[in-house]
Amino acid sequence: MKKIRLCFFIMIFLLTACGKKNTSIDIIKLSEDLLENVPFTDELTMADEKTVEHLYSIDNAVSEVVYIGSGATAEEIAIFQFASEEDADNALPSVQKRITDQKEGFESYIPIELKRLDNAVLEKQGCYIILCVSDGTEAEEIIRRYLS
Amino acid sequence: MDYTEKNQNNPLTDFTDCTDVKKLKKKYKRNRLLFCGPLCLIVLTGIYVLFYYQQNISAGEHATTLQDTSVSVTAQKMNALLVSSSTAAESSITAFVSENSANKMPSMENPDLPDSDPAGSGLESPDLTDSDPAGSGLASPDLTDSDPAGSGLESPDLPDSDPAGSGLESPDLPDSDPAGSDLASSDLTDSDPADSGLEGSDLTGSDLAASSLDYDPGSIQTDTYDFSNPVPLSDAVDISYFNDAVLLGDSLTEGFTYSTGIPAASYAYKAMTVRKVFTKPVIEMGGEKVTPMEALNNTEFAKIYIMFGINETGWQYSSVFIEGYQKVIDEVKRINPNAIIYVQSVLPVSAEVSATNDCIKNEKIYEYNDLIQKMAEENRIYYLNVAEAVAQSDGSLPDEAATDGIHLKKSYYDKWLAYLQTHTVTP
Repeated sequence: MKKIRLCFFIMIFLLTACGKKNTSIDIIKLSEDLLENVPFTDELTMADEKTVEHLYSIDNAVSEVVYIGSGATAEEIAIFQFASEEDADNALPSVQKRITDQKEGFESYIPIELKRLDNAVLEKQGCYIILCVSDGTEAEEIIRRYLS
Repeated sequence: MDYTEKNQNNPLTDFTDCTDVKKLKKKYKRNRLLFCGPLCLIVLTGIYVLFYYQQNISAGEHATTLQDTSVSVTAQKMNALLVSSSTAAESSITAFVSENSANKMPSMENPDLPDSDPAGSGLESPDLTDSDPAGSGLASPDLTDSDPAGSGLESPDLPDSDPAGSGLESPDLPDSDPAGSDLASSDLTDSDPADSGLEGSDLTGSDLAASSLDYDPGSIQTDTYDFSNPVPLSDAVDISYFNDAVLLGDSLTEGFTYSTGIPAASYAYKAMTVRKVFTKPVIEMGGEKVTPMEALNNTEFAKIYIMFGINETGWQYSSVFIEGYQKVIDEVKRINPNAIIYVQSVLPVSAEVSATNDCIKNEKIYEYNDLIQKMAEENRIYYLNVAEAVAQSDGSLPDEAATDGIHLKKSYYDKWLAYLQTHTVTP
């Protein structure tokens, strides 16, 4: 009986651990939450698939939501869901490169935007990559809430 | 083992002191341990496998789980947004056509501006022949102080001052051709100021037009077309009209490209100018970064939409701007003599930006637009007065059009797109 109980608890533990690893996120809800509660100064608009591919060089996401600014600021939201964790791992450098490119672009243009880019929240968990370029800590708090 | 003794406090065993029954109970207990335990394990494992499988599938495209529903909802919402976006663009077109039909478009003309010299220095001259008061024309006093207001539209690359008075060099321009191509060396590098065109203060209309002799923009009847006026209102073309087009410009064109999703190749970048377009490698192509002009040289296109000027408003001499622009046009014609070339007016900024920014003034923008229109006529290329699509009656950008008074919000980028769709020279 003790062995059964032990097995049962091990099973429950394993199920719980994997459940965390495969957290399911409603990326639309997250993007809307960020849009509503992060104090963006620019008006962000949703980018179409072609634009996302151009900006991020990512064309294999299962689902994606990207909001970009007018050009006045570096503010941006990008959330990607991939089919596997491996795909997400492979795409992460592309998202990091986007931040680097933006820094290069704004450095000699609107240098104050570098502060925002340095403050960018970039999280990768499981099959998801989440990026939010903004001021303050609101974005980080919201994203962590969805990932926990 | 003495069951009677061991289980004497057990009501059940007390009740049944039959030995057979005790044996049966013992056997039953053992069987229960042997079978129920593994069965439970199997069931739990099955549940786990099913759960894991569904999780993986839902991440793909075929699941029917909640997560898949989320993906579907995502797609639906995106489609809905795209549909609403295109509907908005269509309504913009309709509104624009009706406005134009009623001749209600605000005019961007500002008759008192072209000859104005706000600084009173007499340095500015929209007349190219008189643009070099010193006679040398070499100095790039065209490069003014950087933008102290921090608009950031340009000028970190422009020197704050030129104490030595040479002023020739612009830090944004390399001393040599980094790409090593003949494109970048087309006289805009600083290494050869004599050839840089800065001395081109003697540039005349005939000189400008001479460079367009070989220009043959497709099947358009250029011999009868009136190039002195902006492209008039026409029937709206489908968005696919831009499939073979290239956009060349600065951050405004960049924002326009991304916000509207126009299906054109876009070689636009922040802080781009008529000079940097030859020298600054910012466009990714074939795994490396090339200048916009190099990218253009490697692109097949039938039409090109060009917009420069907002980042050059800080330049002291308008002549230097238009001469630089002329070199862009020359290069585009060299790359593709058959392309339809549209040059677009510089978009106005908000009244507040115009009043507070040290460099970006609507007066200067109007002046540039007059020069661009004149250049278009002399080159027999097409001038698009896009500014009228976004300007209000006083010629400035409405406050609600842009968060910073310069870069447009999506709704105004859509107005710009609608204008392009309704001002074409081919059906």
